[in-house]
Amino acid sequence: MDLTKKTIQQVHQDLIKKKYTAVEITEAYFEEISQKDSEINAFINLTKTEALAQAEVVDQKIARGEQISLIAGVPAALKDNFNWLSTKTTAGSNMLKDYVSPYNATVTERLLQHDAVFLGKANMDAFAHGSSTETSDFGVTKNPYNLDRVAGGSSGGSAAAVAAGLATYGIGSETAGSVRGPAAWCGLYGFAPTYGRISRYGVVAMGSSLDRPGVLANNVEDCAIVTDLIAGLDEHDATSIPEAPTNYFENLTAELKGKNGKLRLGLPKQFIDERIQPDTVKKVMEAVEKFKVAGAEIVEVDLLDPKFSIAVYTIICRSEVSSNLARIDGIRYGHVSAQTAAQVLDQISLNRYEGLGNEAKQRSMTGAYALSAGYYDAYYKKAQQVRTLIIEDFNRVFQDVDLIIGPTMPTTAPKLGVTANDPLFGETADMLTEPSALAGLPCISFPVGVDSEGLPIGMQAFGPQFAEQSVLNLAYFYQQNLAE
Amino acid sequence: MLTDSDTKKIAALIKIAIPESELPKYTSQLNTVLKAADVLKEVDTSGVKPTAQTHGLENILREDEVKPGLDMQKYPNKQFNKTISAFEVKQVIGGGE
Repeated sequence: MDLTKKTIQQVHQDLIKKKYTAVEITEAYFEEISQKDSEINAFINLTKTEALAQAEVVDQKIARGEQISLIAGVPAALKDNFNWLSTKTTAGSNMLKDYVSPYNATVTERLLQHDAVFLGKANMDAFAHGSSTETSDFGVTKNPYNLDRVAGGSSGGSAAAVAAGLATYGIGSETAGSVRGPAAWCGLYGFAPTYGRISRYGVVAMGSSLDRPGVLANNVEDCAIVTDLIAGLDEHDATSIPEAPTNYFENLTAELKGKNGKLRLGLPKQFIDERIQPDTVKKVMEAVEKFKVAGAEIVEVDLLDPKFSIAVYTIICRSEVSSNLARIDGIRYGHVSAQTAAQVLDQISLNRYEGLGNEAKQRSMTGAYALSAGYYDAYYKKAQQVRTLIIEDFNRVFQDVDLIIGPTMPTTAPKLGVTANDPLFGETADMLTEPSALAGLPCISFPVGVDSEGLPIGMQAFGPQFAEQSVLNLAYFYQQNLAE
Repeated sequence: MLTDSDTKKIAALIKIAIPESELPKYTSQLNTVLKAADVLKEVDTSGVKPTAQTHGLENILREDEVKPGLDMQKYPNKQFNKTISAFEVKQVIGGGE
């Protein structure tokens, strides 16, 4: 069975036409994983027993002639920061390597209600701290296009699994560019809606004002299908948005229409300057030209320089990390040191020293410093104020244009080992995704070609809050009409 | 610029037992990271409200009714003592600095 570039609709059609059973395709994926994943390392833990049991349920429904959900029986990779009842959720960290989820994340729950099949928990930077998966305590995920390159991160395992044909789609999460980045570097579509559209409940927290679940897939339709199932109000997440249910898949339209007629696409000059790899700029500009020929208006826009977003993101994310990771203490769950201390706080300090990796320690410490009395105003509050200016900057630009487009990442996938001795690798790699993440805007990355070494290049589009449909439609137009 | 002594204080604050020998490594990383925030000084933020949350929802409340929580008896967790139905922790009060 050829499993490369499978889409949800293809598998769904094959299942209901009984070309193969859900159990058969699940087993085929596990066979592929057993052949390829020792090299790629997309998964931390495989969940074969659970997956086959889920597939069996779907096969019984099909046998009984019941209608099944589009995703029912379609094998997926679940990023390992999503809790899934009775399975391990490590978040890529030694601290949680034996942690068994006592509940489902809302995303997991909603997918399971639609008879999702999860092949396993996908690798990620530990606690999602990174853009390469090199900070994972379970080893780096290699890029299926070139095994000497990183897959990107933090949702690198989900991306590599889909790109290598080890899963039909992947669930990821992004705080800056953790869905878009690995999607770009692995030649996939990566979509994350407006902050608050998809519940964060049960996702191991990184930066709570920024975190949002997302989807990695081989086409735009799959991004829309899965998002429709997982988005929507959730009483377990107080930042969840009380908007009407979404219908992105049904409303997908390959047309370039803007709010005032012609679609106006803003191209920030700061996104294509000398900081961006020439091959990336070239491919993205070719795509821009195609959009123009197809009828979109391209408007050069002037945004606050991404260097400010890097700084704001660095401070805000680390501050939130220091707070969120403070609960990971080895007392109720997590790593417990073999050394024993007489007092609970000393025991916590030992557990955390041994269980947290370099990146989590460094981010926690930087965040604690930025939040501490005397430095709060200079770092955290200042960053929050500049965040306001970044949001206002977007509001200004979106009065004139419908969507903003540009490269997703400043380079194609770098070589393994790139993060060594660079405590800011993630922040720099995500310089083009941080501005929209800080504003909580809906965004997508879609593939627009490869560089001279055959490495995929991603283009991103993002719009005002709640403009998910326009963002998806733009990528859909490219996929249907302009892609090579 | 932070010194190793600052790093030691921060590590104590955030409850990570960093040994003396590793302090220089973290001091160097912390200084690199904090330096990246220097560009924020270029921005005039006088009178600008800080953003803590992007979509502006406020005070999300629900009825104050009791709902069942997780039943810990059902889950494998070596740190949970099922007999007494509680997490056992080390001494919290007294004997400290």
